[in-house]
Amino acid sequence: MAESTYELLSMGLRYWFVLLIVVALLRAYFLMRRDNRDYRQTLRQLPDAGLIGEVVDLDTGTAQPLPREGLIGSSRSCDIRHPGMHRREMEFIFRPGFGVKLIPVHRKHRALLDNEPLQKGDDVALHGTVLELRNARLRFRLFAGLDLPERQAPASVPVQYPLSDTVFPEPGDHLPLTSYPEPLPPSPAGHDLEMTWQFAPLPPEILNPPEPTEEPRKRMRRSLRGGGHRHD
Amino acid sequence: MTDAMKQQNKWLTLPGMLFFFSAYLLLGFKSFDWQAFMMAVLVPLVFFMASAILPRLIPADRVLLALVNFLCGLGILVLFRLNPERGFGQATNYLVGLVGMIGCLLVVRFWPQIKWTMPLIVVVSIGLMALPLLIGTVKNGARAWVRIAGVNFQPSEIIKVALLLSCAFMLSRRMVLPALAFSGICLGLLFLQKDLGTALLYYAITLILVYVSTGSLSFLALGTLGAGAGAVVGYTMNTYVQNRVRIWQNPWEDPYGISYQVVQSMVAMVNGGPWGTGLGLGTASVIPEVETDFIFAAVFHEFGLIFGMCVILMYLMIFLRGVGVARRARSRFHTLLALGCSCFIAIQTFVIIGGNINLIPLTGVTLPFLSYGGTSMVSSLCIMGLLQGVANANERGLEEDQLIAMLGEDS
Repeated sequence: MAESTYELLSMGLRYWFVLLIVVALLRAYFLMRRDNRDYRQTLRQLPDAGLIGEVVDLDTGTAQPLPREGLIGSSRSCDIRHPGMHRREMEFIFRPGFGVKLIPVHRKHRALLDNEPLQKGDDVALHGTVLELRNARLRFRLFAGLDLPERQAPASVPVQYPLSDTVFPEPGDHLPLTSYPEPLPPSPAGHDLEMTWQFAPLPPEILNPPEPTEEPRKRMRRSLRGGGHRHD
Repeated sequence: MTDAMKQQNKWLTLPGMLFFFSAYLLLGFKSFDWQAFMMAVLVPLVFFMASAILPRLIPADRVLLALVNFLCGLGILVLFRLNPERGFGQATNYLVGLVGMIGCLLVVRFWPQIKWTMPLIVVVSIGLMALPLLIGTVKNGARAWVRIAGVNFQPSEIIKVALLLSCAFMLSRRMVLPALAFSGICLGLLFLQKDLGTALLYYAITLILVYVSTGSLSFLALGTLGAGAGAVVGYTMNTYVQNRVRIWQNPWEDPYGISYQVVQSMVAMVNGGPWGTGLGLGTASVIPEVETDFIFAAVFHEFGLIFGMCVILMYLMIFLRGVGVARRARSRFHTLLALGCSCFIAIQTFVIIGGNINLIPLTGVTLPFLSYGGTSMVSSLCIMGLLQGVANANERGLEEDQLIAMLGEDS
């Protein structure tokens, strides 16, 4: 091809190249935007996406969402926070088919899982399991549908009744953990707080406890937070 | 695949295919070169297969894949225009890199089963990193290259992938000290090899990952102070670092001597103007190291300012997409891995483009996906493979959540 023709062609094609890269870039941008929008929409439909349940503080009744893995402690960066604990008390990782694996950060700190001291490496929390750490008592409540084995009642130590989260408060007190308030109104940001997932059923010994004997009833200081449509 | 998805794929890959087809056709008409005509068919075909067919076989992020493939294709095109042999070499590197990318995607997919290999990865990485000090060759002042069985490679490029994997893994388990120790050993070996550009990248990534995993501002402040102290030590101990800073302060002090590269790069970019000189009409080959460190200047020269800005935007979109993947990740390991991968690509791009336009002192790192270099291309694509692996895991996690929601409603 003659040099002058090539020059003309090449200079003309400069605009074509710019047009093509701009189209590719815009297309990628709009796809990214659409994908983000779709993802946000999915998250609105599944507000509990990425979570596997919640952890209820049995003394205060407050519940904190439970992600698939994270830390329990008092530090700001912890996923489950409790003021009475060490900054980083325990790690947890959800293992499908096994449960929530618990790994203590400090081996010497007192930690009980369903009234039993933690074993090294093979401690797994299931739905209804109570974890005692320092002065905190936390109950794991996991969503139904997770690939989990059935929880067995601890064999060595009998379950103590009444459980603090199943007793009824005095009139005028906050609601107990076994019943739930009406769904909260939508937040100002427009997020629907209503839960889409259901919790797994609790083991029968917790659902239908025997009549309390002489044990004094414990009071809850605060009601359970969160939306409605939760059933144990 | 639905019609809407087909439509999306078409509009994502069609401009790239048209771009490469017309560019190689133009180069072919210049001197009726059959190699260029062959590339005009092959490159768009490979681009289509890697951007549209591959995500169907292995679930991956289509946007990321299309952007990365476009940049790789552009690198091959510019190298082919400068030196056809290098273009073919880079195309081979790209194909090897694609295999590496799929491999890394699978590594992330099966990480729970193979994470026991982590100590092995760390030991092998340190051994590989020490190799240039024993049998390495010096190139551009750095003893970073090794030749084994006739193949030249840069171990520090391969260890990038290992560093990202190991740091993300250790930090996800709050093993800060082992992660710092591994990174520190790598940094020390890089300093001994005088490969300061790569050392800078390693340092920045470690700092970012440790800050993200611990949330410790004091560590960030300490790390930044350490970087400042390291820069001062590097400046006082190495003459070539002092020269780089002098060039950065005033490139016109010695335009035919130590500043020749940077001055030629800036002149080439200015000559290109907003629309460029036209493909095949530029004179970018006068810039030393145009195929590696200054390839961005060549793109800018022949395709122009607007095109060059679009290339920078593509890198920015890759970074933002990577951060988005990290935000959606379900586990700490995936979050740190995705963030590390996207930051690595972003910092490397910033360092080399900043050096090309004299925004910061020039450092000898390659421009990801564009620069010539087998190890660089393969490692960059492997890093993208890790990112794709996390994106893939996110998709699976969301599907799992939807399933749990359905099962929960049924129960």
